[in-house]
Order: sequence, then structure tokens, then C-alpha cells
Amino acid sequence: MSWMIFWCFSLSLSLSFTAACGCLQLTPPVVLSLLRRNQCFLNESLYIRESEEELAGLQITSCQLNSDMRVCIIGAGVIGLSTAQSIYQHFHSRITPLTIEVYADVFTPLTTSDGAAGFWQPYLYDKGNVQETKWNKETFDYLLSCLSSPDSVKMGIFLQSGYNLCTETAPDPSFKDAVLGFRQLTKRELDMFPGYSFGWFNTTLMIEGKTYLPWLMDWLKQRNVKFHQRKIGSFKELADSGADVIINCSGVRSGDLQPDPELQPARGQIIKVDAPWLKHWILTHDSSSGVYNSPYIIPGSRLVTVGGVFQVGNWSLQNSTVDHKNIWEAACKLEPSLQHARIVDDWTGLRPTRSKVRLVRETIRSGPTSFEVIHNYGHGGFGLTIHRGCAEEAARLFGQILEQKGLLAHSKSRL
Amino acid sequence: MKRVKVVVVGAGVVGLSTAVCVAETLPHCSVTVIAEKFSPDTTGDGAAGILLPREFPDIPLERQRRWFKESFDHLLAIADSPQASDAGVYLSSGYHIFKEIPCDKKPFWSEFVFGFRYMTDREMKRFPNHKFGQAFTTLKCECLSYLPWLEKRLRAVGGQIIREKVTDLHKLALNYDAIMNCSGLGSRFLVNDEEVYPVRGQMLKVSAPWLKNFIRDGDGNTYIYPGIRYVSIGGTRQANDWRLEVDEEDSEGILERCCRLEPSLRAAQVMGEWVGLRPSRANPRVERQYLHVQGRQVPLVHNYGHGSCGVTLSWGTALDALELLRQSLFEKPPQARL
Repeated sequence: MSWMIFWCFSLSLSLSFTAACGCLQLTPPVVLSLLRRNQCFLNESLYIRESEEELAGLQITSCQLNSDMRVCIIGAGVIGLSTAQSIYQHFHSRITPLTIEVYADVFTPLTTSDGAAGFWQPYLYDKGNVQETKWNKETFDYLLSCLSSPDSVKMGIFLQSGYNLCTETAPDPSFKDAVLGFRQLTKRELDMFPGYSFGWFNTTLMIEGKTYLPWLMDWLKQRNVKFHQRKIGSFKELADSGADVIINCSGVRSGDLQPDPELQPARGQIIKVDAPWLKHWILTHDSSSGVYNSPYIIPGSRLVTVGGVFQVGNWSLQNSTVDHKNIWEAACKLEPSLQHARIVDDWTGLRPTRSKVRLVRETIRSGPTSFEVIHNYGHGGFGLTIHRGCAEEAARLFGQILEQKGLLAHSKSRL
Repeated sequence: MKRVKVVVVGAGVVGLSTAVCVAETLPHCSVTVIAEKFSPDTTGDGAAGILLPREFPDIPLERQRRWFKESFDHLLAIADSPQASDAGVYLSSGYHIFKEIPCDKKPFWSEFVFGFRYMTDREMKRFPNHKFGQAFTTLKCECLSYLPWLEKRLRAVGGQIIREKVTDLHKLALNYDAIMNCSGLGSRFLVNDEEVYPVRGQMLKVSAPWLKNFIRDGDGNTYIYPGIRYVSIGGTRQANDWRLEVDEEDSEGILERCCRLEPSLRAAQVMGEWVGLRPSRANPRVERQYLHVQGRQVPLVHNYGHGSCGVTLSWGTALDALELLRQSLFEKPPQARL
């Protein structure tokens, strides 16, 4: 690793600081602590040396004149905003100053998170992605704890019960222990839904993007997180402007920043209707059509979201009249009372679909320098469902970066 | 065959249900509803309309089960149809919580609602002052929509409506062949039934569209019922209290108790307050007698005293009343009038 060496400058800074303190003793421990205070990176080899005399061979490998830790988050959907929140919560008192900025070309109410129904439920089966199941549950438990707070309404969080309907008997879903009161549907209940022979009932949480995102933005703004409305062309662009760590929460368009053949849009279209007598969500599962390609009806706090389609590879953000017709017919068959509901709006969104969530660190070289990127994208149709677990994990990865840079006040001293 | 003239006294949920039952089932009967109050001024109009029975002491359990099952099935068919929004009938899930474990943990009606079970420990965590709870899905039937919808159904089969207060059943019997008395609390005066007494209930209408599940305290005094356009929160149970005016202290008590059960209600706006008098009686009176009028025996079928279970038992008791009427018409056909 090659680092810029500013040790002379830094040392002289330290000395002037010391002089200002009226303390002229330049013993090795003092030097070291001064260097640490100025956030200098020490050569790893120093860590092995125990003898203070060997400080003569001190090699300061890197120093930042500016002790600012600048985190730049790309994306202001639920993933970007909640990651900013987690990072603030974990590190604002441990790193000073910690500057967090969010860059995005779209903000609430125009993000993918805003259009989604805001319904907590992962896909039925995690296909071995136990990490995702863990993050989903963490998010549920977190939101459940927020339910009793005075902010719950402002956060857009509330409970709602409903039906998962299957065309055939199916094994218990991954979320059965996370949700409340999970049970199988009785025959009498299934009689209400012709064509479906099996299913489950449970109570889950709703987390409406149109309310949650503004709440998150307010929360962040109150804590001096800055927002920039700008499309970022490359990670390097941010790194060159001084970003220390970049967090990539750019969702379905992550491919513009770094090609990822595993990331694909899964187009969804929904119809918003006024049907306030509906108090339960209904999701159908047809193994032949695939997840979310089957009707669903999800009442929100004001309107009911009716879907759905799941068209992999379709980038079109235009509402399709064919999709509208199919969605509406299937939904009215599922819930006959919808026939008299007032249709308010159509909306199309692109689920950032991937074989699994990409939540990893990456060190990117740029000429002689390198910078850290944390990727947090690819949450498919379960972004709101998994957001908090992923944000906490991203914060943990961020903490790793800070530790490796020797920036954490509480990190174990290796000297 | 001569048309049998049936008159139904009362246009609340019991009266209109009874009228529709008769009019749709007995084509040779003409049905007229006479009442002083119509929707939105009946007792049922202010009630939340959640289908949740209680057990009456002196009615055979089998009959009570039948009353509830038939009401539930009838309304379920409406909820499951395109008519649901017009009729104001839909499914409602929620929690029935108890501060002390009740003697009857699994009441007689548990098999007729959907998915009846005990609440899990995690679910009970939200209610630290309560030790036990039942979770189930039942129906909600909002009279503000349901009564006009029943009226339409009545008129569709030739039923008539007269807006008039009835004070003398003998006089009424002069012009009709059979009387169905669905006068609720009014029966206290109309048929001198002193067993009928009001149980005053006050409630608040609040705007809290994020609430989807009901919560009812088993003691009957606190409830939160999310409705179509507002959430009904309550309540009070004041026996022999005839006051129809809103009591501020009652409102404060309701808000305090409900916010404790559901803290998010603190963010809810109060839209209005309402008071109703439950037509209470030890047991509902669904039975038949005869009025002797000018040498005629006029069947008088009573269907009143449902207390807090008017909506809950309306269809089942209406069917019972219909059966009593049918029997009386079969046993004693009305004499031709000169």
C-alpha cells in the first residue's frame, strides 16, 4: 500500500499544538498521542513494536490534514435514508466531525419506495439466504418497537392483518416467526376465496414510504445531514470531491455506477383505489406465475394498493393499459367488493431485483489512491421489509472501515 | 289468495331486517314499516356494528347459536359480494382482551367467527394491563349504509314505508292482519314491558385511518372499532340512564382509556360524539302473542330487547320472527274483513 506521507507537516503541527499547550516534553508517548489526535495513519509495522525506543524508526504512513470523515450516500430511497440514519446513530458521537451527505436525482415522493404499498413481507422462501431472513426479522422487530412511540403515525407505521392465499399446500414461509399470530387458514376462510385451497393468516406491519421517507429526511436534516439533488455519474466523481466513504444505495440503477449483470429491474404496476371498507391485505401465490405476478390487494392508510405484475427485464416506467386491465380483473375476482371502488391512480415502479442483496465493502483503486465503497442495493420487492437490518449491517461495515483507519475512539489500542 | 297485510313497527336494524325477511320470503304478504325514526336517527346508526354476541341467561343456547350463525352467514354473503360497500358490510379482525382471565375462555360463538384463537404472548405484550386475549375475524355492519340498503331491498319487493310514531297497537291492528313489534326501547311504553330498560352508551368518532384492527376490552367499557370513514371509540354502559346528551366527562374517560390501549390515537382528530340507548333486556323477546281486536285474533310477533346485540342478532332473530309469523298465518288465517 502506498500512502501519501505528510509526517513532517503533521509533526510540526503537533509540535505547535504542544507549544500552544505550553508543554514541551516530546516523549514518544506524547508524540504518538498527538499523532493519533490528528488522525494520522501509522505504519502497521509500528503496531508490533513494543519498545518505545523504536519510535525512532517511526514512519507515519498517512495523515489527513482535514480530520473530517465524509460519508456520501448515493440514493434517497428507503435504503439510502435508513443507512444514513444507522450510520449517524452509531457513529456521530464516536467520530467528530462526521459529515453525512445524501446524493440522489429523485427524492420522496418520487422514489421506488414511495410507490410501493409499504407492506412488510419478504418473499415466501429465502432459498438459503438466511442472512436476509435475519435482516428482515430485525427490521420487523425494530418497526414493532416504533409502534408504541408517539412518532408511529408520523413514521407511517401501523399493524394490519391479512391473508396469504396459495393454489396448493405449501411449506411454512420464512417469516412465520417474525410476524404476529401466524396460523393456517381454516376451510371456512378459504371458502371466501375460490381457486385457493391453502393459506395463512397473520398480522404484520405496514410502513408507508410516502410517510416514512419524509419522516426520515426530517430526522436526518435535524441532525445536519445534507441533501444534494444531483445524479452521480461515478463513484470516482464523489471520491475526487473528497468523499471518504461512499455508500451505494442506488437501487435499480446501480448498474450505471458499476455494471452488475445480476441486477435486473422487475417492473411492477399498481392501481390505487378508494375502498376504505377493506381492512385486510390479501396476497395470492401461484407457483406457476411467480412472486407478485399474482393479484394482491393491500389497504393503506388512505388508499388501497392493487397489483401485481413482476416483469423481469422490463425497464418501462410507463403505465400499461393491458397490465391495468389484467390487474383489475384479477383483483375484482379476488375481492368482489372492489367493483364499486373508485380508481384514483396508476403507478409503475422498478424493483431492484438481484439473486441476493449486495451488501458488501469494496475498495476501489483510482490511480495512486483508493476509496471505500459500501454497496447496499438489490432489495427487489422487499426493500421496506429489509431496510433496517441492511442499514445496520452497512453501518457495521462502515465501522470496520473506521477501525481499519484507526479512527474509532473506542477501538482497542494496539500500541 | 287474499293478500296478508303485515306491519312492522320500528325501522332500526331489527325492524328493517324483519320487514325484508317477511317481504322476500312470503310473497303473499304486503309489508309496511311504520316508525318514528329512520336512518340516520336510529340507535343502530351510531353503533359500530361489530358482530360480537353475548350469552343471554334464559334462551336455550341452541337458539342463540342459530341467531348468531344465521346473522353471520347472511352478512358474510353480503361482505363477499359486489354489494359490500353499498351495504357497509365487511370483515373486521381484532383482539378481545381481558384484565382477568374469564371463566368462559371459549364462548359459544367462537366457532362461528373466523380463526378464533387465543392471543400469543407477543401479541399480549402490547397490553401490559391485560392477562388474556382472544383473536378472531368477524364482520362489521354499519347501519348508516346498511339500513338504507335494506330499505332499498324492501322497496324492491313492494314494501312500503310510513313515517309515524305508533302509540297504540290495538288501533294499528284495525288496519293490518299481523304486527311485528320491533320497537326496541319503545316497547317499554308500547307494550308496557318494564323489563326493557336503556343502557346508555357514549362514543366518539375519530379520524385514524391507519387503524385496521379492532380492540375490545372484555369488560365491555372500552373499545376501538375501525370503520369505513372513521374509527368508533367508546364507551359507557350506564343502566337506566335516559340522557341523550353528550357527557364531557364520559368523553374524557373514553379518550383516556382508548389512548392507553392504542397510543397512536393521540394523533387522531375527534370528528364527533354520539349517544345511544341500548334497548336492553335480560333476554331479547322473540315470541308471539295475539291481539284481540274487533273479534279478530291479530298475531303480534315481538322482536325487541337486543341490548348491545342488535346488529349482531338482527338477521337471525328476524328469521325467527318470520317463522313465528308464518306459523300464526298457517294456524289461524286472518278472517276476511267486511
